[in-house]
Amino acid sequence: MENDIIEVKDEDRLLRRVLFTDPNYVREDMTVTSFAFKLRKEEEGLSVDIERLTTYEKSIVSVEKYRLFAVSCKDLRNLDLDCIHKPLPDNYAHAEISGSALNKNKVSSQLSKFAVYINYPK
Amino acid sequence: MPALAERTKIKTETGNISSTTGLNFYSGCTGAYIFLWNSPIDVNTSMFASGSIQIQTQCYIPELSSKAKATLHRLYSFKQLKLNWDGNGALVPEEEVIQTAANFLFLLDEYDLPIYFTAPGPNGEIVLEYKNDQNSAEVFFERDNFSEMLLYNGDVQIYAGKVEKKMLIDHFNQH
Repeated sequence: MENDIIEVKDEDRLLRRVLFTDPNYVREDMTVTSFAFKLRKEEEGLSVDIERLTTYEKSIVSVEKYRLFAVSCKDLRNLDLDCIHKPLPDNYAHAEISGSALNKNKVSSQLSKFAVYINYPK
Repeated sequence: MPALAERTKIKTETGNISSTTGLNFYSGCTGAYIFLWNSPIDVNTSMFASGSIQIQTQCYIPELSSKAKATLHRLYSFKQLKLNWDGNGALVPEEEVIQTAANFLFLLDEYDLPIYFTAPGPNGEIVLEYKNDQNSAEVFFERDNFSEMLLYNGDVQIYAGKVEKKMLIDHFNQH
């Protein structure tokens, strides 16, 4: 079961780990800046976790260094992006957001507007 | 007395402006700007008047708002970043990118724009973010003098494209 590739549905929420150090990508009002959704030069997709396949505790990796934000798969598909389940040996929930528009500031910014803060740790 | 007989005009790249118009002159370290009734005309070039009139200018270094000072301090702190500062291979912003963003911050603070946030990006870019109750803006600065501006009403993106200072100022002055 843990080796199966699942279909990522529109109603799925995707968890993105966001830098919460100095400098950080989380503003004072706990919204997130667009750089949290920007590709690095050598990247082809953004790493996320499918919420229903993981826990916040596992997904955040380090509460000292990161915070979690969720985007709905439907929202990102409306931006001509897609998400595919790509399990890693140590992380079955891992998925990747991809699309040619992903390297544009206007798209990463729009993604950040859709992102919802996950209040973890409380 | 041709200088008195002739109506004096200020020549810019976009045409002539009568000297009877309400004008303020600004010549900062990043370029020259004319303010026509508080709306900027970005001429970014040297100005001269026809006839014999002389315009005396002086370099005006404005006092920054406290929010802009704090943002400038943050911006300059990015010079201390090391390669891989985020643990995921992030590049360090180049000096030129930081200075371009700082110059922009200086210039736009004259208009009381609500500077809100700044951060370095994963590829060495920098963003300046402006925000008030209704509107927000993100201005990106990257290598090779690339810059880009996004404007929002709430969460609705209404503009994405090259940086237009007048558009940005108007965006926060609309009622």
